[in-house]
Formats: sequence, C-alpha cells, structure tokens
Amino acid sequence: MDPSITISFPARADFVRVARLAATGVVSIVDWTVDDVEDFRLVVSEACAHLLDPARQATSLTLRITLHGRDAEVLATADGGGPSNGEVLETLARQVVSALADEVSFQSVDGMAAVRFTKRPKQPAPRSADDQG
Amino acid sequence: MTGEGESLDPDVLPDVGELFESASREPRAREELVQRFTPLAGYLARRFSGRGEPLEDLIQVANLGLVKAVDRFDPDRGVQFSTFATATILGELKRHFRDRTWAIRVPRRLQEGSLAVNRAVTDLYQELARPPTVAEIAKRTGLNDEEVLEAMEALQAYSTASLDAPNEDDRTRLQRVGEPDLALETLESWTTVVPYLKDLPERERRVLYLRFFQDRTQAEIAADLGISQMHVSRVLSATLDLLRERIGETRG
Repeated sequence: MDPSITISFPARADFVRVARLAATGVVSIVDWTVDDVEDFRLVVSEACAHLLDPARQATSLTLRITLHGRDAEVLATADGGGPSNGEVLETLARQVVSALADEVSFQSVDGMAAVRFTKRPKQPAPRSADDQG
Repeated sequence: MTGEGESLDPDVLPDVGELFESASREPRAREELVQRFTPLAGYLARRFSGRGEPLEDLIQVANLGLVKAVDRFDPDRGVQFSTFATATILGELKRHFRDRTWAIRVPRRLQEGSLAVNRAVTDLYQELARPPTVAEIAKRTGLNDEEVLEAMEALQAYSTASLDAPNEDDRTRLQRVGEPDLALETLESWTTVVPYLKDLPERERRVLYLRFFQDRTQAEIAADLGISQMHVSRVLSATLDLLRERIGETRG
C-alpha cells in the first residue's frame, strides 16, 4: 500500500503554511530537489487558495498526500460550508494549479469542493552528495 | 464581456484563437492579448509580494513574463494559453527572486537558518550541477530536515494571499469588491458576482468589465464609451451597490 498522510486544518489562509510544510515534508522523504519542492509548494498553496474561496464558506480543509513511488498525489477537499461548496468555481488559483500540476481534476467529492492532482518531480532521484565525491 | 455574461475566464472569451492568429501580423491583436491576461499577471505578482520587493516591480516582472508568453505561445500545441502564460510568468518571477535573494525579507527567528540554507543551495547547485535535495542541504548546514523546510518556506518569497481572512480593516475581499483601487485583488470574487451580471443592462456590464477585468481607468472607460468620467464613477458606484445588495439578499 502506498504511503499516505492526511492533514485537516481550519479553512483559514494562515493555516495553509502548516499544510505546505507537511506536504513538502512528505516529498522531501523521496528526495525531491529544491526546485521540485518549490513547485510543489506553489501548487499546494494554490489548491488551498482555490478551496478557500469565500463563496464556499468552508469550515475546514483536508489534504491527503499519497506517494506513488516518487510521484505525489494530492487530494484537497473543503469540508462543511454552504450549499455552493461543491460548485466548480473559475478562480485564478485554479488556473495556476492546472498550469503547474501534471494531472488535475476539480470534480467534487461527496458534494465537497475538491482539487485532485499529481505532481511528478522533474529531476530524477539524485545520488546522494556523499556518492559524488 | 461575454455575450451571456456567464464567464469571465479570458480563455473562453470569444476570439482568443483569432487574436493569436492575427497577433503576429497586427500589433493591436498582441496588445489585446496582453491586456486580457494582465489580471493573471497581477494575481501572480501579488502572490510574491510582502517579501521586500516593491509590488510595482513584481508586476513589471510578471507583465514581462506575460509578453514573453504571448510571443512564444504556439496555439497548435493544444495547451490553453492561460496554462502556458502561468508557467512563463511564474518562471520569470522565480528567476527574479533567485537573482535577488539578498533582498528577500525573512522573519527574524528564521533569518539565520534561511541564510545558511540559501548559501548551501547556491553552493550545492554549483558543486552538484543540479538542484540539491532537502537531505543534502540539511547535511551541509547542520540543520535537520524540518528546519531546512521551514527555512525554505520563509525563503520561498511566496505567500498565500488570504481570500477570506479579514484584512487589516476587518473586511473580506468580497466586501471590498466595490473599491476601484482594488480591482485586481477582487477578481476571484467575480465568481460570486457572475450569476448576477446577466441581469444588468449592457452598458453597466461593460463598465464593470472594463474597470475590474481589463483594469482600465475610469478616464479610459469614459473615453471608450463616450461618456464623462463622473458618469463612469456614478455607474460603477451604483452598479456595485446593487450587486452587493443582491449577493447579500441571497446569502441572507
């Protein structure tokens, strides 16, 4: 079974940083380079920004990050919220996620707004710096 | 404005394809494309603000990326222009910060670690001829992985602008939708407003579109529509009041 972590946090922008730290922590385990980590951080931020749109009135966000080999699959959902929570909104954040992630879906999950994407590292797994001697 | 007033996504507005076809021949078509996606460039620039670089500079960098994207885009490759433009603009912004990391403002408690990490990244890039991993940076700096990630977070020069968290005067972006000087920042709220636009008279829709989506000044709109600037101001004010009222009614 592929390793996975799930983190839930209040639907507030200042908590997104915590989610980003968790998300980048996961991909650093499989030795992503800093450039790939930075891109991943951007996508996670924008996915959260998309779900934090005030029209949804979400109460919390949940982020599940699953590693498939070195690829990271993220499912972010907005929990609670108003009747329009599950609607697909045209946000600029959505455009950014679409541009940066490799496979993207904005299909709602159980009536909740959701962003699902896979990010593949551009750089292959490097040999450790010690081996480069 | 779209015919039905249903969407403000510049990619689905009519004639983007036609504009690209004629962009190579007609400077005005190129200019129109740049103008149409200027809000996207502004949005991305704002994502990098608050770290010591003037927003105006960042907007210029982002606009430069947009112009490059317009010039390099190949419509035959089957990629939406907004996707291509986003990647190009972000690349430009990231390069800007990479060249100017000395200017990045970092919270004091993270300063020492961030500087060490930044130095290690630069050195390891050169030594390894590739970007280093987190583990490699940790080993070089003597920090642990978590500390490296935290320092990177501070160095990232990237902030999630709060979409719904109250700002300094305790109002949300949606509530600020009526303030012309916040035109670009309010774009995301248009998703809320769009359903109500189709009930507006054509001229009111046109004024809103030009002001908030095209980021045109009131004077420019006045010239475009052949009315006075005062009139544009009144139309904006009255229309936004009406929209706020209708959204308020719907939300109870």
